[in-house]
Amino acid sequence: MRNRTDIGIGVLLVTLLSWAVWEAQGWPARTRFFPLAIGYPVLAMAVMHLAYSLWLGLRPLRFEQGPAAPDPLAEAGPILDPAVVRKRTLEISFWAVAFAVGLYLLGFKVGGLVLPTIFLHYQARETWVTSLAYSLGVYVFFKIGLEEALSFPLPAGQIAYGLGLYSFDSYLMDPILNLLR
Amino acid sequence: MFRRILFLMAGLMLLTSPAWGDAVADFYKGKQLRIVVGYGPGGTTDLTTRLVAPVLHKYIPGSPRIVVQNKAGGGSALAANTVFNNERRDGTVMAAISSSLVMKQARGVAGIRFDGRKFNWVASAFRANSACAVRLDSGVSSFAEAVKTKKQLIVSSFDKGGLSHLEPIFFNAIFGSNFKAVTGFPSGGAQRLAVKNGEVNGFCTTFQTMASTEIAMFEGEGKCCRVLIIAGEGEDHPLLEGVPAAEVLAKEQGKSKDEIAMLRAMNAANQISIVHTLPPGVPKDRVEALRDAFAKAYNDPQVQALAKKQNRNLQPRRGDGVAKIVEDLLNTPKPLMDRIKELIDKG
Amino acid sequence: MLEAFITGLLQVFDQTTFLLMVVGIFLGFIVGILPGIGSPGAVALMLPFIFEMDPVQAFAFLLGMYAVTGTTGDITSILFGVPGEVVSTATIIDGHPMAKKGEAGRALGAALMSSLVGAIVGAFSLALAIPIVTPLVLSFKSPEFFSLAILGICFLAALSGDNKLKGVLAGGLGLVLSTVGLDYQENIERYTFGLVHLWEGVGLIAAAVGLFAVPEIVELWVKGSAIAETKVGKLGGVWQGVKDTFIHIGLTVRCSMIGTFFGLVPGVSAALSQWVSYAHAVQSTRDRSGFGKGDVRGVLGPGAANNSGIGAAMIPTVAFGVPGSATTAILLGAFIIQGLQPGPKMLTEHLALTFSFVWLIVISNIITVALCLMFLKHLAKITQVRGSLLIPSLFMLIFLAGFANTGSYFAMATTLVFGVMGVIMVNHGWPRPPLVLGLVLGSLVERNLFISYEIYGLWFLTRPIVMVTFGVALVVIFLPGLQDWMAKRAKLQEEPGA
Repeated sequence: MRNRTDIGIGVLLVTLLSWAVWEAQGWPARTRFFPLAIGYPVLAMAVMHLAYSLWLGLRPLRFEQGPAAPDPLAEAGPILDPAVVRKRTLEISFWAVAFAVGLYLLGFKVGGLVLPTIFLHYQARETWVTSLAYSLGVYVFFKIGLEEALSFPLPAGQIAYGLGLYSFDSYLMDPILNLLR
Repeated sequence: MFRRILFLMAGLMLLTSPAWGDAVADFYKGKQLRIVVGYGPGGTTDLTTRLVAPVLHKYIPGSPRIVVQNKAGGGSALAANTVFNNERRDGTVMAAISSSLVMKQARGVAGIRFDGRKFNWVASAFRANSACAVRLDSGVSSFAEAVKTKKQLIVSSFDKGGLSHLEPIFFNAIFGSNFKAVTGFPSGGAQRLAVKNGEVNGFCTTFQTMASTEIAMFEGEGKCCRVLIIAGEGEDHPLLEGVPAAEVLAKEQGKSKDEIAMLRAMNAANQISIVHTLPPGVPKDRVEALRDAFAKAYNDPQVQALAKKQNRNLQPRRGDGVAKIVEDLLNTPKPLMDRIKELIDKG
Repeated sequence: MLEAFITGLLQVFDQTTFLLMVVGIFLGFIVGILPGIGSPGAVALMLPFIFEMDPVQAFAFLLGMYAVTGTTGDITSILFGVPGEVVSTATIIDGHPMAKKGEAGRALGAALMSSLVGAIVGAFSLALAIPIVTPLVLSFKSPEFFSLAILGICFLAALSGDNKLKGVLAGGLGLVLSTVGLDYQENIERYTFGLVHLWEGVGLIAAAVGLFAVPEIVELWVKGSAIAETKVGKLGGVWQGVKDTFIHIGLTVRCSMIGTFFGLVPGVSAALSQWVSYAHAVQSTRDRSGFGKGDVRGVLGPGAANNSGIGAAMIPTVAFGVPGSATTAILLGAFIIQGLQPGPKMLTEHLALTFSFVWLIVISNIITVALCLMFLKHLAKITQVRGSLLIPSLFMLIFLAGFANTGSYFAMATTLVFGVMGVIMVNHGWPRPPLVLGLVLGSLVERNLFISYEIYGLWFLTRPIVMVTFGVALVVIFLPGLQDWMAKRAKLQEEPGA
């Protein structure tokens, strides 16, 4: 199992590096010199690595393979069921992308209000009160701490831009803040 | 009933807007004007923008809140592209970029996704001239001597086609000097360090830089270098005594019109150094209001005093003047541009 | 000389100056403790406030902040595995595993104390080095920068841990990735897919955050617990970390010297010195098995080098106008705001002012460490907070990190891509430090190779400093093998007699 992924990574690396070296061929001499000077040896090493993992994977199993090099960062703690690990890895990967896309679409302020709420309530099963209070804290940090106090610009996301609005929150917040000033 | 409500609302609007009738003031009131700086914090473009930003609101009708945002990438091409294509075109977003991008557009460099003719240029901060200087021990004491002896003078440059690279190769092509531009130095500091430690014979940059931040290289005990030639028609400065000005020299030597035009194209970007611009499509009255505001802000006593403290001599130019220079540069005849491109490629 | 050293110190204790320094420290602490912003971001945010101050005051404010963010960067590296700046990446390698073992307090104590020792050793070695600094800095030209970068690459192997092939391959991949962007010679786009965002290469901070922080977030969610897997016991205490610094004082001082040296060399990225000192910590240790899993020596080395380098890096910045890191580049801007001229005079006429900068850094460090030691126990408790509660904040901050640096959402994509790489690398036993090192060093190697060749031809390889550096590089490559071989032989010789 472990070997299969090792072979997979090896194939990916060899493909990528071959492409990098191939792409560099068309460039002027001084542009391609360094990418090639680095690219060829690294490609050679990647091929070596792939060959080695293929050899490990294809040779007849003489003995039950012991655990491969332990993960330095994951070795402590209770051993988890691989199925659970995979499910939870997929979950959090989805959320990583969701946060990135969400922040792009909504901007940091509104995104900071919306995304943690959804994550905390629906994924982490926190109560509405905790989730909302938390997100409000994130919003206040971005709006008051960064934008107001430090003049750190946090532009609105793509949705507000597409609709021709300045941002979703400024219509409500700015008059309030102007009153306070 | 309905008409009464309308009437009431109109009355309310009249009450809440102090300068009724001033569309620009109405527009900017309570809004934010975001200036997107094409470089990271601490660079000249950033510092110049932050120099005027604190007073700018005083001079814009409606006093919007000024926010400076750094968006570094592609030698400010990223900021220029973004503001031209993907930001609001109502006058609430403007860009602070390098004028050398216009030269890149003229040369047809990939990655430029804006048209300098369509930008609503607001102001530029400096009118500089580029100059080349060499070490005292380089074996050359004047530009005439450099041309006569054809001695190779290695100069440190940043990137190919950038100003520190254009100058030496143009002077070689037009006057017959023998500069060798070595590109790849990552910053102004690195470019000058290579001169100070004697790795190269000299360097080309704006004369403004030489006469301010690098004045110690030319004056006093530890001086190491002298100015050889300055672009344009020259300036009045003690360091430039006996130093030829490229365009004057070219006329004296009876160079062709094209060659003089090339020298002018080379120096054009320096003449509108550190430039602020609005995207196309911004209503004309707002553009004019911001042009006025920048002109006044650059002349603000506070800004002037701070610029003096920083040894920088602000020579602002209004947006219409900037637009003229941009237009001229972009209208450089194609054969001439081809020759320029060829020179750059030859390096 | 000595007079300037002392005058510089006295300048710091001017009332307003001192007060502004404390304000800087305070603000720096608040901004710096958020992993997203880091020291360049924090210092950049403060630039607008210094326009009207006088130079010593302005720098009291900024350097106070810079020094404290150097330390808080270590704190976020240890607690969350999120590097505040590229410079504090090396601290993660052993610091974060310590936090997971419930030794957050100890790791923080060690990081803080080694930072303090580093800052002080750095200041004094600078004072001693001032007479030779100008010739030293001026003797480093492009060929020497090139050889130093090559030396750095040779440390790749030392950072690879058990699997040398994977380590060197990861480093090579980093070098290949460093060629993304416009090349320095012909200005031609390489591997940019037509994206202007990639012209200046892969965003280092976004990449480092992706590589190191994303796998930690994934693991935090997978485990479904807090960061610390075991309760913080007495042994995990802060004082143990402080004591560790003095148990390994030799290592701490040596790494401080490494930091000072790399800080002095103009234009060589400060990011290099933390890895060199980390590699030194690994190589100078007999039993290397604990590294990468929470060996305190892996925290002490980079901790000391970072803070000693901060003071030293001011020298090429103020004397030659060549900054070595993102933050010193911004400080150079502050210099110009203040109307100061970077130049050799900063080491002669204005030496007292230069020393006041170094002193500001030392004293800010002392104050920071004292303050932090009071709060550390509470800070370490954050590792016991439910992971699911930390995750949204961590997501917001890692994406803010790239955005704060470039002002562009593109950085989030970089973070995601490197995040995926990080997760794969962690799960399949690929070391990540060589990748970062390759990414950092690639441009240094390429630029200086071409400049050296253009100016000197191939003769640049025969310059004395270059040859010495290459000699050191050979030692770095072959020393571990030699040590193993000698240990084996010694064992063989002992056995018959036993």
